[in-house]
Formats: sequence, C-alpha cells, structure tokens
Amino acid sequence: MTEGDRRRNVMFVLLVFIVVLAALSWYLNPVSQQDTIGILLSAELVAFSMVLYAYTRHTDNELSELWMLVGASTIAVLLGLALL
Amino acid sequence: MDEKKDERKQGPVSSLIGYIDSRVGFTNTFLKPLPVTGLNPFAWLGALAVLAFFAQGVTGILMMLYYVPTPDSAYQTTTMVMTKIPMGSVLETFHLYMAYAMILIVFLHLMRNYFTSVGKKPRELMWVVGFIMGVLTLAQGLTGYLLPWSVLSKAATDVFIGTLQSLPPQLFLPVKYLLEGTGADAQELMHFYVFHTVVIPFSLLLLIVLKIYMYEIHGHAETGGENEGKTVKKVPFFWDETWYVLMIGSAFVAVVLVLASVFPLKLPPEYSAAAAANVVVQPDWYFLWIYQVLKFGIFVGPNEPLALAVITIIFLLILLVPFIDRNKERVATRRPVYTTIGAIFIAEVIVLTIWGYMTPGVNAPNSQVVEIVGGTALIVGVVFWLYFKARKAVTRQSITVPSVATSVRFLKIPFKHSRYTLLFLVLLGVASVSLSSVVSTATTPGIDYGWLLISILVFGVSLYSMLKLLKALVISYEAGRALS
Repeated sequence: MTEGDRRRNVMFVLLVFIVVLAALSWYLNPVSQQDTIGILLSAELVAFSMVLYAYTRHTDNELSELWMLVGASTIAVLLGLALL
Repeated sequence: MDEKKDERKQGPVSSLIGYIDSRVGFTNTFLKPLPVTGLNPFAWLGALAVLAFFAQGVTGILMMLYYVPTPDSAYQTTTMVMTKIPMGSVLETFHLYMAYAMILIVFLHLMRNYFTSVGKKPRELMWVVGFIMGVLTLAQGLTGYLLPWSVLSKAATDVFIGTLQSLPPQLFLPVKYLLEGTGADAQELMHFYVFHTVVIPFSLLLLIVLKIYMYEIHGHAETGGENEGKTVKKVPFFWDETWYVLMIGSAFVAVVLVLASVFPLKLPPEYSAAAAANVVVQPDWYFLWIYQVLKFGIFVGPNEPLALAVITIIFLLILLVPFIDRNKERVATRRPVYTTIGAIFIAEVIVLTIWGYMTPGVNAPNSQVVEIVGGTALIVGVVFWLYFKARKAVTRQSITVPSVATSVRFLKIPFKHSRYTLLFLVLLGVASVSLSSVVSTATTPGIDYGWLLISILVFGVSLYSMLKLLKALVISYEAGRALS
C-alpha cells in the first residue's frame, strides 16, 4: 500500500465516522441531551482535524502513527464521555 | 485544455479551490508563502485568537436574539437561554470559555512574541497594535462579565468602577459617564452592553484587518535560532498553511466545546442590593493578578492611586518593549536580561493570580508581599542567571550551545535527577521559611537581633547550596548533551 493510499483510507474512515456521528446527533434532544451533542460535535471536530492532518503533506513525512493513535484515543475518550 | 487536464489530476477539492482562486486571485495578491518552520502551533497563536474572536461573534449574535439588557430581564433571559433554548447551555458556556481561551491565547501570543523578539524593527507598530488588541480583549471580558447581572458580576463591576475613583477627577468623570452614565443600574447595563457588542468588537475587527495588512507588508517574522540566515523551504498560504490553521483550529474548538459540554456554566444568584451586601467580591481570573496588587498593604486606602500608577507603568512598559530593547538580537538565549525579566513577569502573574484566588477580600500585609513577590522574582532570577552562566561556561569550552527550541529539554533535569530534585526542594523549603522569618522578625517592633541573624544565616546557606546544586546540574546537563 502506498503512502497516498494509506492516507486516503484514513480520510475515508474518518469522513464516514463524521457522517455517522452527525446522523446520530440528529436524533438526540437538543435541550435535555445538549451536553452529549456537544461532546459528539467535539469528537467530530477532532476527526476533522485528523482528516486535515492526513490530507496535507508539508514536510514529506509519513503519516505519524503516534498522532493517529493520539487522535483515535481522544475520540474514544470523547465517545466514552458521551455515553456516560 | 492543459488547464483542464491539470485540474483533473489535482482531484475535486484542489480543482474547486483552484477554480475559485483563479477568479478571486488570493494567491497572487494576498497572504504570501510562509517558511515551513511556521508550521507549528506557537506561530499561529494570533490566528487562534482571531478564531476565538469570530467564534464569540457567532455565539454572541445567537445569544443577542434572546438577551434583554435591562436590570429586570438580563438575568431571566440569560437563565432562559440556558434552560429552554436548544443547545442554550452549551452556547452560553462555550461563549464564556472561548473568551477565557482568547484571553489566555492573547497572553501566550504576547509572551511568545516577547521571547522571540518579533516586535523588533520593522514590526514595532504591529506590536503596538497587538498590545491595544490585548487591552481590548481584557475590556471585552470586563464588559461581558456584567451582562448576566448576577450578584458576583455586578458587585465586582461596582468595585472596579469604585477603584477608578482614585484617578484624578478630570480623568475619572469622563470614564465614569462613559461606563455607567449617571450611575443608574439600567444605564450602566446598557452602556456595558453597547461596549461589549458594538464598540469593542468593531474596534477589534478593524485592528485585526490592520494587523493582517501589516503582516502582509512585513511577512512572517524570522525568530532566529537554528535556521538563522539559512534559506528555509516555503509553503503557499493557500492552501497548505490554510489546512494547517484549520487543523489546529478544529482541535482548539473541540477542546473548548468539550469543556463547555462537560462543565456547564452555573450562574450565581441574581443581583440585588441585599444579596450584594453579603458577597465577597472576586473578579474573573484574568483580573486576579491586578486585584491582588490592589490588595497589597502598601496600596490599601489613600495609596490606591499609587497601585493604579504601578499597573499603568507595567502596561506602558509592555507597550514600549520594542522601543526599549533595540538590540538586533532576537534569540532568547542570547538576551539573558530580557529573557529573565519576561520569565519573572510570567511567574509573578501566575503567583499573584493564585494568591488573589486563594485570599478573596483579604488584604496582603507588606511582609507577605516582600516574601511572595520578592521571593518569586529571586527564585526565577537565580535559576535563569545560573542557566545563562552555565551556557556561557559551556561556550567557553568550545562546546556547541543548543538553540532556544532544544533548550526546552532543560526542563527534563528535575525528572532525571530525582534525588537532587528532592534535596533542592528541601533547601527551597528551608530558604522560604528562613526568608519568611527574616521578613517577619525585621518588621516586628522590638526586633530580636539574635533570631534575625540566625534566620539570615540559614537563608544564606540554603540559598548558596541551592545555587551550587543547580550550577552543577546545569553544567553537567549542558556539557553531557552537547558532547553526546
């Protein structure tokens, strides 16, 4: 798999995740569950930030696994918070 | 045909951007390519502050749809937004936390620009404009604090206006009428509302445009260090840098949003004269350091104008930094005096803020002021003096001295040498207690000279031991790292 393919795959997964989360938020109550919606929106923003990271190649570096792991862990924590 | 082929090769997003840019012409006229070294969050603190400003603009406008700026309705409409409007609580809290984030980022931006000397010739006026924007950001916080009309916000605002009474009447009266009119609650709230929603935001907007214009004229400031004098690869602003700013901007908004969702704002009770009589006044955190200065024993009562004069001088000195420090050197490690002053300033602001938070409404005796303010300056000054001395010693041994960025690793020392760190902390404790004893003995009537002498001796020995310990650690660290 080339570096470009790897980046495209990461972006695809993240974009699907953003769309799914947006659809899920649509069914929540914006008054009584607003804190959950806020947390889900934060997770989407983190995912969007990761998409941009995967999209840009300023320094010709490879996609950093560490940063991807940090992003994914952050999203996991946020989803956990939303479920509480 | 060739253009069409290129657009197809670039992919849909890039070709859409290319299409827009070929019609608008941003890349040819605006926001020049930037050095690749600018791709770090610290170089974009100003942009994050602008993002925070616009985020507050959007949330502020949404809140204005419901908010009624009268003493009878302000609290009710604020509570109504938080409890009845969809996403209202997150909206209110996000607006508040974004304001906090903006103030914090503006402070970080100021200090980063101070240490990297980007305000030096020919960017002195950019520094001045940035300083005015910083003051306006604080004013935005001050005016917004009153708007919920809670007992805390009203009482703190009244104390602030009361403090201004110590100004000369020629200055105080115009300021008072500007801020609260004839003094009626309704006028005061309306004046603050107009300042918060019209005067200050539009002034900030104009200054943002002016600063971006000057940024375009002078370009991205070189901060010296490892890349000094070298040709650095440049990346176009559109769209490489834009994606980068969007990336860190999204992460930044995500952090503030999650905080707003998890820790929603809890409003204090509504203002009433009776409730205000029982409240201990405390300003918002970003004014706590000034509040603490006003509580210094030396400034309490008739000496209050002196406190205002001292605070004004501090602000004026910050404003005039590029005109005072005219040396061409930009690297922080080669400007020991200014770097140490900057570090002392940051330490004092943090210490005074914590102190102000922990002692609401309690005046600080002069002996404590000497111990805490003087002690902080002394400790930071000594640490930095030793650091620069050690760097000089290493340079004399012809060992390459690392740059500013890599010097941050200096902070690893305490963790690598835990036993020495423990010993240093014990010595620090002994030095603090003995210094405290020196000050309290010297300021107590009927001085006990024997005890004073012992305290001075213990303080001197512990300080000397700390200096020796630090020096040995720093030299061994620098030499070891440079040789490795």
